Amino acid sequence: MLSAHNIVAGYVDEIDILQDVSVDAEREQITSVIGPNGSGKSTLVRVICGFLHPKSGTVTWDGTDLTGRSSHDMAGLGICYLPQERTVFPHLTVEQNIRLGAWTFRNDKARIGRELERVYELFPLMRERRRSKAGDLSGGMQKILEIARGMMIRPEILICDEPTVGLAPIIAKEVYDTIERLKADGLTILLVDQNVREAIRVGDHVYVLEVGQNKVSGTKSEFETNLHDMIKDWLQI
Amino acid sequence: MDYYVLSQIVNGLIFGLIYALIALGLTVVFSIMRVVNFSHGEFYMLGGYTLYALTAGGAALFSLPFVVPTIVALPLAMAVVAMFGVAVERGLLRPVYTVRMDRPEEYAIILTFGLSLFLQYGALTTVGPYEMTPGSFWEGSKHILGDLWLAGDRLFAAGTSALLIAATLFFIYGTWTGRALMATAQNRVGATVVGVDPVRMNVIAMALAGLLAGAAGSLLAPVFLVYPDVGQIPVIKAFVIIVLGGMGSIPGAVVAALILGVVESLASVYISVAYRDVFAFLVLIGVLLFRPHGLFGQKERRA
Repeated sequence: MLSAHNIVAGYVDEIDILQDVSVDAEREQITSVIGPNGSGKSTLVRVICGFLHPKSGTVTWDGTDLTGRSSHDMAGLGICYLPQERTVFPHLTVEQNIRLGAWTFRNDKARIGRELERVYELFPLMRERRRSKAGDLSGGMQKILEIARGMMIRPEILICDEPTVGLAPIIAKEVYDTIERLKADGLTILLVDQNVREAIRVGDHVYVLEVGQNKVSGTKSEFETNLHDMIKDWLQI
Repeated sequence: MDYYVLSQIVNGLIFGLIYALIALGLTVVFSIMRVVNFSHGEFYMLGGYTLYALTAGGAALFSLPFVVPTIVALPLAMAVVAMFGVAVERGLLRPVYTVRMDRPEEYAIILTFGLSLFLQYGALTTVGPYEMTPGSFWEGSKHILGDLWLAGDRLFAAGTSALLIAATLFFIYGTWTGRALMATAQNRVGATVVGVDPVRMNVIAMALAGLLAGAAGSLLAPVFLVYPDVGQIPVIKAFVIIVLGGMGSIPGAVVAALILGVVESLASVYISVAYRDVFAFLVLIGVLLFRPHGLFGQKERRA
């Protein structure tokens, strides 16, 4: 289980974006974190992934303390982070991008070959486009490439921050399908999203944040029935 | 073609190779750290002074009983400047990046500008304005063909530069660390996510820049001697080269350096040698007017 408990964090001393937020992501399930703009969703994943050190609170993965670990240590710990912004290497080819996913085991040639083959089997489109420059791919394909690159380490956890922001709905669906497929393969997934409907649809467990605090949480079924009321409540209409 | 013109072209290529060494370090640091290192010319100067101190200066100034052979002093000088580069990253530039602030690159640029002045005037007050002559790498003039003779030191500088450029290209394109450098230059967050430590890449970039600038400064020291502002003109040319080659482009820097070297030499013959250092600026203005992304530069595609 990935746990972030009682997180207090912010970018400057006086302002706490997160004021005591706790989230647990169960193994082999999709945990969705939703909430309006400015609720601290992205800040929460930045804390979990070591890009921002919390003022207090702890982050653990199966009992291993991750609090304060560096962001570049995460890949070595089996954690794959998919930031909101694009992170492909635009002037390298698709295959060069995916191979760089093997950085943490770069001296194990045999393993790199094996993992590359496995990733191509998971993402056949990437094999087709392996000689294209990553920057020439569409936005959706770049997102899939980021996921493919992240799969080189055979991560145990995938942390996605708004994976479909700015993508056309049909391509967004492909990204969510990919996430569900990876869950079926045994990945633990933490999905932070503003796309409330999709986040609840794919999520097994849902957390709602509001201005840096936990608002409600529950299983998917609880949310599906109340979704309409909840959205009204957020918008205060 | 007469031998005079031929010798000018060959000399231009020799300078081009040296310029490439200087420009490579500058462009690598710019790509990785987004910092234009204005003290890069002083890295070059330090290379020359270190070579002088090890070969002739130690004996002259401190009456040391021995001199280091020039060929041995070269790698030592390169190592010294590389370590200096690492110290600059660690001591001056890293704090700018670890404290959260707006536009850290601009503070870093002002810092390197200050460091440049500090080192120049530091050299002026400690060793004085005199031109110092370090030991030679390869003494005398060498016969190439026909009437073409070249100074041994220039030939040595060209050959060593070519080797160092080849080694640098192999390092960047052929090793994991080099690929991680490229990845960091193209997307810092992406590199971090796959496990590359971006701070380590900063250190490697500064060490590489010091190594190459130190080499260039040492290699040309026996030809042009060493004095406090010896790095000024070469580094300005390196700036022109990285604009001509395309900001951040490694092959662009090498090709542009060779072009600039030859253009300068030929323009000196056919127009006027007095304006030798002006031609670089004419090239710069031409590039900015007609091809602002340079020969090999990639136009940014913004999302």
